[in-house]
Amino acid sequence: MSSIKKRLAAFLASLLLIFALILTILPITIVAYSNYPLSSSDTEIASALDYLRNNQTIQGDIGGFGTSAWATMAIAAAGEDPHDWKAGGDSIVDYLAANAGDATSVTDYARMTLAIVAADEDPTGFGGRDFVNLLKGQYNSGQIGDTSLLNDDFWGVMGLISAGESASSEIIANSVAFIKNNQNGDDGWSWGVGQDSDVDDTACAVMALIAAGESSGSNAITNGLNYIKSQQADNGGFLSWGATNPSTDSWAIDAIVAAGQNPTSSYWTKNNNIPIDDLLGFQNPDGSFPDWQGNPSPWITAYAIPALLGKPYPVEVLQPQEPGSVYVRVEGQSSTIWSGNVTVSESTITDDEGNPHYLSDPTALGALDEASQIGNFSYTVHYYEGLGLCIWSISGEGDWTSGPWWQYRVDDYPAGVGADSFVLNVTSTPAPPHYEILFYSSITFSETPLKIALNKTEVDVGEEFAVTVNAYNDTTHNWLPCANATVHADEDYVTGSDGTVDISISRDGSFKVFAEKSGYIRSDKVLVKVGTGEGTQAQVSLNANVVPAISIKISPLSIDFGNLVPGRTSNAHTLSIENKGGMPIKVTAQVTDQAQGLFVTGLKLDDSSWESFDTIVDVNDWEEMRAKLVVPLNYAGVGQKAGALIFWAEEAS
Amino acid sequence: MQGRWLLTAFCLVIAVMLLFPVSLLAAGVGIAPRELEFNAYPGSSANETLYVINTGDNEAEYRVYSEEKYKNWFDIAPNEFTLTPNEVKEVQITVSPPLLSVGDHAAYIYVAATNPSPQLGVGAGIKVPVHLHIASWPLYVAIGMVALLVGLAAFLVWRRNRAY
Repeated sequence: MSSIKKRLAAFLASLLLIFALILTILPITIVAYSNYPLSSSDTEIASALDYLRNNQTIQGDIGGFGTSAWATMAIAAAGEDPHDWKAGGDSIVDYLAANAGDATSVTDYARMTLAIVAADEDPTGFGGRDFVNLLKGQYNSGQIGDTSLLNDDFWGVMGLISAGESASSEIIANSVAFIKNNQNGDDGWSWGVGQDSDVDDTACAVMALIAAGESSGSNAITNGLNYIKSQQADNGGFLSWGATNPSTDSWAIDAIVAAGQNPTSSYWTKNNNIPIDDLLGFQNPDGSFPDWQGNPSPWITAYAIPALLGKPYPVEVLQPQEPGSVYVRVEGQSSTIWSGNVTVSESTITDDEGNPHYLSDPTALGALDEASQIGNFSYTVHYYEGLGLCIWSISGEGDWTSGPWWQYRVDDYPAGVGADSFVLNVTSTPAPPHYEILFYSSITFSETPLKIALNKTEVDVGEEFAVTVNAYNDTTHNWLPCANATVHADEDYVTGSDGTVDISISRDGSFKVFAEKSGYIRSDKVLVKVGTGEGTQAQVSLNANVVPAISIKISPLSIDFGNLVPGRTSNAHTLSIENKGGMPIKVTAQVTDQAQGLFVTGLKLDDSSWESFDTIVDVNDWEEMRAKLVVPLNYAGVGQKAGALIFWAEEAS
Repeated sequence: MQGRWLLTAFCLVIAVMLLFPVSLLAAGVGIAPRELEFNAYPGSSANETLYVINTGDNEAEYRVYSEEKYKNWFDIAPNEFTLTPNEVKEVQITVSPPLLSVGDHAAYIYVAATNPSPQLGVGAGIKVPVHLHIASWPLYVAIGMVALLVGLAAFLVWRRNRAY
């Protein structure tokens, strides 16, 4: 019996020991987050997203303008579409677009660019603003923004890289050099030149350099991470003003991940604590993370989500343009001739004299040639010694002597060299990369492009949406509101003094919205889906009547001069000529007969020989004339005589 | 009673005829593009499309042809067809310039809508300007052709000598 008791006691003691060991190990196992990075289905992320969602207003914003941009990045990092984030009203993307004008500083432009790209929108045309050009416009003295600041360079580089700017471009290369040149002696970076290092700015510098292609093994990165490591606290987090906080932890984790390291590795473990533990330790039961005062903050929550997901900034990057891949738009005087994407490498251009010209680089003219083949429209170029190949006409439009003349712009800038010399993604100005080539028919040489921005592109029937028309300013190189521009949608609208007009369409359909104004280049078209998107508008478009270039209509079909005797003149018969084409026409007459010369010799038009008939008829105009037949006195024929009178039209010169 | 009905019908017919005098009787033709441009080498060919539309009110017969001087340069298909009002025909125009034709040439393609009539038929036509840019073959092609001819001649000489 005692043996049994002893065995039972030993068993219980073992059980107790195991339980005690489990209790000892359990806290570590629970706190230490070994499954980093988290996924969006993990409770920590799901609750953080719920917190953001619960803080969205009906206007679409979460925590205001700046925080909404960070939240957009967090939402995208979690694999959700920010366009779907609505609280019974506009989406968070709609909100950012509607308030794009609130961005005024370099960091505003950079944050917006990062958010816009994360939302799969175009940073060169969002809310009526071109954030890429705005950022590029801040480039000075080999760096971005204020020469005494560094944080505007960190975020400026990340913003531009996110928008597809090449790491080898001048602005990125020089800004990267500026950042590296201002790494402090303690291996960290500060917010300003010559200021003390801190973890937040060092983390941003590391993310910017990595985004710009800096090797994670380079001295700048290795040393930067060493600085961050030196600031790690015993709880695994990173110190800022003597304590850890979720914001600093988030950016430090972002930097570690950006550099290809694992924040849960032994290197980043201190006193058995890892950075993730400290960050998650700040999370409130409602999923939020607190600000510096301890209050739940959508802003800080938006920082924490990408860090926990292992997705540092920039969370999305547009791939730099393929060499020679651009969007081409050809705007004629009365309509758009073609628009679309082309890829061009080398090209052989045949001039108007039939001479081939080989262009070994992807050029603007090569892009036009490629577009003409895809779009099946013609163009002519003439070679001038010293000037190169000049565009004479596109789709039959253009006249080198009297105009209109063809001009082109690259990313809205008027090009400074001939189209055969502008090498895509190489030539400046504008600086590469190049996205759009706009060929346009010019009369005054001073036309500038229009651009439209819509706050919504999918609306219900009768729902109002705003169209903003901006005109490019060649002096300041930015877009300014354009008043009194005509906006074409289901019908024509006119913009107010702020360049905006509110439109509501009362029927289903898909409508191509664009703007025109005399003296400006027609805007590109934006498709707006109203209701189901299927309606009469599409049918109207399909039934559009294309007027032939040259057209003539004659009535009547025949003339019966009745019974005539030699030496007599018939009664006058009225003929009408109508111009139904798109050009003024010059009309002449020709007569043939099988009547022994009766009609050839005797037909008079307006009392003169038909051979001298010559008139100009304008577009949509008509002319009348009187036809008579004079039967020569010695005419030998008798009976019914047949002949033919044909009026020939040709384009009036 | 029947006589009154016949009189009314007759008056109506007359009235209708007076309301629509000659407007229904019109010949029309439209074309696009307004001119044609060909770039080709001697002995090669180039193709363009001309669209012809009946802008008249009646079915009409259409004929497309080139001016006599360049008659042998052009192949036009179809060159004769019938169009109902607003019907469009796609006409393929192929130019094959002869070997000795380098330079710029200006010609016309004629598109005529005719209405055969026992009296004086009235028709409409359009003269379409045609610009022909016939370039000389690039030098390397010319050298290649000369080399081919020399080779052919050498082969024939060799073959003849071999026969003897």
